[in-house]
Amino acid sequence: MSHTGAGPGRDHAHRVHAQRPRGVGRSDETIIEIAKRYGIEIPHLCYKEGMRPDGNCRACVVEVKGERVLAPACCRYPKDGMEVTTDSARAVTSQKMVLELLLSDIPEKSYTLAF
Amino acid sequence: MADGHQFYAYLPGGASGGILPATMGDIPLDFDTLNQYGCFIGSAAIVILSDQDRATAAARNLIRFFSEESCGQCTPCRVGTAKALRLIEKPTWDQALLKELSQAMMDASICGLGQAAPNPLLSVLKYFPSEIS
Repeated sequence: MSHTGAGPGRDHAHRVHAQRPRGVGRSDETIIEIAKRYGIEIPHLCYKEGMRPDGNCRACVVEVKGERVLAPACCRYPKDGMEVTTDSARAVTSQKMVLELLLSDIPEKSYTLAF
Repeated sequence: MADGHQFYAYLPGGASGGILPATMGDIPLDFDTLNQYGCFIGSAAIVILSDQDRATAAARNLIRFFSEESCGQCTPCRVGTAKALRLIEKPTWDQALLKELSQAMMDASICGLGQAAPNPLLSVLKYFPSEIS
């Protein structure tokens, strides 16, 4: 599992990147759970610990090397040698677009303060 | 072609296989022969457009179809098809935004419907730019 933090002041992210950690995950653990153990945050909306993950919102999509499309981190399980990138430009584009699409259907007044 | 019509464009693979101009009408129809043109054979249901049709009109029709057929399970397909339709109903298209939206639909949708839904509009951007400028 690799994590390439960007921008100044994110020493931790850079250190993780430098090490390019090889994560170990159990076969019954999802990518999002394994990432969390390694201190890597993956954005998510419909996933909640303790509830069955369905992978519907697609806010947690990550890039798995060799796969044609992105994978939902909340309900994908590890395989030997699997290379997962949580914050590639491709993954982040989709993660952001999912939020933008959902937000675009919410009336402005319901998420902003009225003065 | 019927009397008074000239071959203008065609859909090589049903609703989601993309749209190609008549000048590319001699590409062999087979698996993997259309990929390099951003199209695929899909259901192999070929649809022919004449010079009295418009690729943009076909794309609007197809995206509306995908929007209505989307099961609604995942965000990129459910909301993406609806937003794509709103964007391409305009006379001029926001190409950068459509490409960004299409990428997320292709990469993050659960199934083939959402993943292939942007194909018609991407074909218009690629092969029929004069219709949307």
